[in-house]
Amino acid sequence: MSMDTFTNVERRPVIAADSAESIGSVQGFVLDVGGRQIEAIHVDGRGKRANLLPWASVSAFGADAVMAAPGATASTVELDHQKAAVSGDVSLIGARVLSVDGRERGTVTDAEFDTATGAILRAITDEGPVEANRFRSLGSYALVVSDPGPGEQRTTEQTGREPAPERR
Amino acid sequence: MNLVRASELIGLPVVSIASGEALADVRDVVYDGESHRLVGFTLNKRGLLAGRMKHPLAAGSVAAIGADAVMIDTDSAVTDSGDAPTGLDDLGSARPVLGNRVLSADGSDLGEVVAVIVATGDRPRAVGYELKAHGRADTAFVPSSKRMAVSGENLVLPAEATAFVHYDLAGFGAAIGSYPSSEQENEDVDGHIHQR
Repeated sequence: MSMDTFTNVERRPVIAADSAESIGSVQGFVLDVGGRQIEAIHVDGRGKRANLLPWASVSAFGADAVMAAPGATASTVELDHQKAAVSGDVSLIGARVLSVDGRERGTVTDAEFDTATGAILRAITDEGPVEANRFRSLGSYALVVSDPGPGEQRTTEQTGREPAPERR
Repeated sequence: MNLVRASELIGLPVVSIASGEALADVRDVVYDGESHRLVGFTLNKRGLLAGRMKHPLAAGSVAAIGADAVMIDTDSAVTDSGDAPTGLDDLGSARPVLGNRVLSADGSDLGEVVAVIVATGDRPRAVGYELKAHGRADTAFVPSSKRMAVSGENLVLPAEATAFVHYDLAGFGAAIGSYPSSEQENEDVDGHIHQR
């Protein structure tokens, strides 16, 4: 699996594989409501004129260019969550991290994703990494995340039992 | 157990776990002084449209209360139009409690209720009252109980609750875990208070 980060791929050219013409460059991403999957790349324009390249139309997310599959075309924004993403209202980068128990856990500074599938792997925050399997939702207010698994923070409270007494 | 005064929850954003959106801010806490139960929250709209929302948020729809937000599972727990969300049947009967006098079972005046104490976390509930203690400079904390007699002016603390009276919130929080709260007692009866 190869991965890259959101900040590293900013402005990377997006090229049509069949015509070799430029479609635009990586301006940002439209994620699903869970914040775990890239649905589309914002390649050009702003607001109503923003153009999106669906992730399914990416034939290769390369180190120097993003190649669009033959025949692929960028589309305009239609859905609310697409509008929110291109306007910056909903953005993984800069998002406030909020745990499901209502506590703020820092701010997202970057995110790692799988360049083959578009799956988000983890968010990098100023309080450390958060694995994408902890993401619950990404909205305009926050990236809501589940509590860390065992060993990260909670002990007996989570397992609901005391450690076994030592035998002698 | 993490305890806060109910008034400290005012202004917290109400955030949906399903969408990551802040749907409202807490305007006020609705508490029923007769059943000693946290009923829910009245809400304000956020931002430029600030103003009271039509429907309150039922305590049973709250997934967790933390230092920075009131979390709800789905956006539908907060609505500003149409019918009220479920679980708000008894909101109208909420009886105010601030200013009531608390008497011990043996007849001493413990003080006047100045705050409702709420346990936060994933099972938020009211657990007691803060009193401006009679004849003391500091405040006292007493557990709320279904066995507390209520007249509308006075509350009578059951004898067995006397041991749980503390003069600091941390000490009260440490002790109250072993006291059956009014909401746990009520739960068997109404069954609609936050089940998980």
